[in-house]
Amino acid sequence: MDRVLEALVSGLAQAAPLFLGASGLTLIFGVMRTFDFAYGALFMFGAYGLATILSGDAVSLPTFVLAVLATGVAVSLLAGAAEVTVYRRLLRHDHIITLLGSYALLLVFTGSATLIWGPEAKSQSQTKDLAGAVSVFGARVASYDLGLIGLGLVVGLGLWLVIRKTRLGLEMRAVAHDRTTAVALGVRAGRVTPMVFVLGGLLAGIAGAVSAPLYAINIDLAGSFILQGFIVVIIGGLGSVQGALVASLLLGVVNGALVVYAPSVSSFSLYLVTAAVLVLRPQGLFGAPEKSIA
Amino acid sequence: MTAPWSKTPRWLLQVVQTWGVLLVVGLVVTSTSSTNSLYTWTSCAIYAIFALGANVLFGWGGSASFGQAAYFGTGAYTVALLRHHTVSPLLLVLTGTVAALAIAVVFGVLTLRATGLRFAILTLVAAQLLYLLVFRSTKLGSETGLYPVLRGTAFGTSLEPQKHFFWFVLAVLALVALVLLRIYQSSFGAALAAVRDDAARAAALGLPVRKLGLLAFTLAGAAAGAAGSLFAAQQGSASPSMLAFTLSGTVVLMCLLGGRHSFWGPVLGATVFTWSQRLLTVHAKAPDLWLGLLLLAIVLLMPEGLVQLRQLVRGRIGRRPPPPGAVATPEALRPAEVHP
Repeated sequence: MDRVLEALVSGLAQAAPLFLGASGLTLIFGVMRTFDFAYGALFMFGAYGLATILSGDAVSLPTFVLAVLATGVAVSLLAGAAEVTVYRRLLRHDHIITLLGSYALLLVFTGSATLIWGPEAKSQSQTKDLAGAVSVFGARVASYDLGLIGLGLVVGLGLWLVIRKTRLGLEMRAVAHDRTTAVALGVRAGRVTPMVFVLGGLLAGIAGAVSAPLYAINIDLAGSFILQGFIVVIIGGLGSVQGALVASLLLGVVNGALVVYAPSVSSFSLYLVTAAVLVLRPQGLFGAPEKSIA
Repeated sequence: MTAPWSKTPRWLLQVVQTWGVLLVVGLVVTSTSSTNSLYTWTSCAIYAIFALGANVLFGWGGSASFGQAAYFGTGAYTVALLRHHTVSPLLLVLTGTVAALAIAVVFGVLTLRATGLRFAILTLVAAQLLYLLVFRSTKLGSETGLYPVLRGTAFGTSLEPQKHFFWFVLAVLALVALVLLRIYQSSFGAALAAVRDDAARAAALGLPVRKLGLLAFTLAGAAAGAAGSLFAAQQGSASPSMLAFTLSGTVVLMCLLGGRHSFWGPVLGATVFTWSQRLLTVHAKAPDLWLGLLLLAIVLLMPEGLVQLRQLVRGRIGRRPPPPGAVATPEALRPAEVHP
């Protein structure tokens, strides 16, 4: 029973930053209608950013939270700037070109990271207040994992509020659903798109920042994060945040369980599930069906 | 009056032209390069084969596959697995090609159910699965891979000296290029272009879209396998990095860089990219940054690739007025005379 609880908690904790990142990615997909490889770099910058602000030291929780927020804001500004300078021009071309352009941008970002921080990996210590483990119903769980779950809930709620209850959220949904009609109805797509990127950047930045104490911080984070992000978004359904939530929970829990019970299969499982979903139900759990020609 | 050589089949002319150009380039390169540079030139030729194949899907067919490294790596590992047997290099390359072709057929059948973006991601996922399988397999050398791979002997000479190996690769490039050129100019090439430009219309016209897609996919995989086989011989090893998705992304970018709508574009792209990467790795601290900027510039300013430069130059320099009477306006389209 303890192991099940441990696996569950660790799985949920893994799901939290994944959910944040995937939500941002899926929202960006909504306005770009194609994937953004460079989004992985925003996650990487989040991790590097936090390590830079805190210089790798273990700090108290309030300082940690502030640093995470600051990193998130910084990354969101970067994302916004990227939209105005690069993405806006990229989006004039067809989807494949945009996709390739985003890959080139990923290279630019990872290259910049190497230039700024050097090739060696950095590390960030755990925050002092959440460094240990606690006992929950007899199982030992890392306090930080509980913190991550809490973060996931808070951000999830915040996202829901923004998407469902604000005007921006309404416009984002409109543009994602049918850009032409939205523009015809007076939605300023040129304003909405940068805002979506800013929001996506905030999510990626926070996800990266809270993941900083968990991994070695180097440019590989960008690639591994974007691959995971793609998987979650595909399984959840392109453009759907509920899909991202369900998919990241599913994957987090399944991966958490596999790590405990069948470690050799764990990284395969993600890809196999994705392949299965793409073949059997290409639109994912919550996406719109794609029309087939042949 | 028609030129005397216009009677010769166009095909034969192209063969002679291709061999001629490659011969000249080969001679110039081998006589002016150090062994190090020659190594890079050989890599250019290998990537050129890889890119020509990838462009079958990307430029001719209009679909981006982000999993071409799977077939490249299959070719490499096939050759590496045979390293304890003495096999002629040509046969080795052929074996690698066939192995990659087989994997391509399997992956193709699975991935071609999707189109566009989903297809791209599915190919990426398929290649990642293969990468993980190989990375974790101790029989295949895990992280370090399999080595040493020897280059063997062809036509009586050892291929270990870089110069000899370079000529061998160039010969394979010529062969692959000419086969692909023939296919490009056939009805298959035209059919692929039709599917690229408007898949729905192509299907409505009766073109077997799925079958064409599978054939294109197989062709691309085979070329990738040939390139991978050569690469293993060049490096002397096969490692998981030859299956990584960064390689898949790179080869598509090479096609874009050179010009995906031109047949020879990928060759140009592969050469420019490989040399840029080499020079940047040696002289700059963060090569990815500059490569990324270069590629971004191409995407934004010259999406048709470097071959566009030729047209830009022609547009400014070579413009001559058409000979009189060459372009006759049909009677019906001439502006009517105005009668006051």
